[in-house]
Amino acid sequence: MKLDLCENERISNILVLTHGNWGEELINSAKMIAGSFENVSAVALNPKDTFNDYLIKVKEILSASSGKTLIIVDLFGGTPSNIAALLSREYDIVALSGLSLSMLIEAMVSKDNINSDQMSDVVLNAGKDNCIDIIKMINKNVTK
Amino acid sequence: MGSIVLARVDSRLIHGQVITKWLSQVGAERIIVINNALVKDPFMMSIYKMAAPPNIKIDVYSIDDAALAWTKEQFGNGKILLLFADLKSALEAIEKGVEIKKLQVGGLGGAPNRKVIFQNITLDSKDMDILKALEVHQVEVIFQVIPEDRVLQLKEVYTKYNK
Repeated sequence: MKLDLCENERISNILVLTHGNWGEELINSAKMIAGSFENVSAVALNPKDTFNDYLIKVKEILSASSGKTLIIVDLFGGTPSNIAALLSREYDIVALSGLSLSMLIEAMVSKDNINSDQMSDVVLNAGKDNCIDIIKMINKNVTK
Repeated sequence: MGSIVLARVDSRLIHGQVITKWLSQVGAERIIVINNALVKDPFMMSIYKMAAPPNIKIDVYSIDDAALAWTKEQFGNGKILLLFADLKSALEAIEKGVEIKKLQVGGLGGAPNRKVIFQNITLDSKDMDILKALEVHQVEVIFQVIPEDRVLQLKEVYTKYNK
């Protein structure tokens, strides 16, 4: 179901910020499950990057895109997370940490249907809900 | 008085490697960042403060204020992880009286004119001069990104730089 959303409430782009290249690969994995999506990109923090090197790379992407961007970073407190916090002053962004495949898929499929406030909750919950002790859960269901 | 359990030079200051590895590795209770630019940027300062685990106290000092806080009461109390963004600030702090016996270089970032020594540790000729000055001050300088890495001694780094 598509709702009528004002452009300024909607997330137009998704940007994945990670330590190393796994953001790029995670996008490929998400597409494997959820199909092709546009306006989803990743910027890798490489071992040689300084804070400023990485800042410039992320800024380049944000400056080239229009509308609100949802940034998902891998580790709270890491350089990608610190840079997202810093850029919130200059750009229209929502920034979440704890990146996982479930969060990225949720963000990709929900992007056009919900506003940015809802998006934040929905994506965070998708991440939390997917953290499960599988064996414990099976055992609980078996003994029932 | 406080005790410095680790003094580190890291261009990214408080970030992943520091919060997930070094804090617990050295058992630090506090982080003190000594950086003249950061004290003038309250927003960036609050980002770094937010980045650290909630039980870790963060202070940011200018080099002059750090020297003062050290001479007065060795930074107060607790086990301290000291962070500098570059070698120059570390040398200046030492010259102004902050007593650092051992300095770990953990990340200096890349630039076209800088020579890569190991992963994200790069050096230029200015840094080489600073390293020699640190030797004069009898500071033991070691190079290590994360605890799992082998420690590179200054001698090995000189050899790598001159290769």
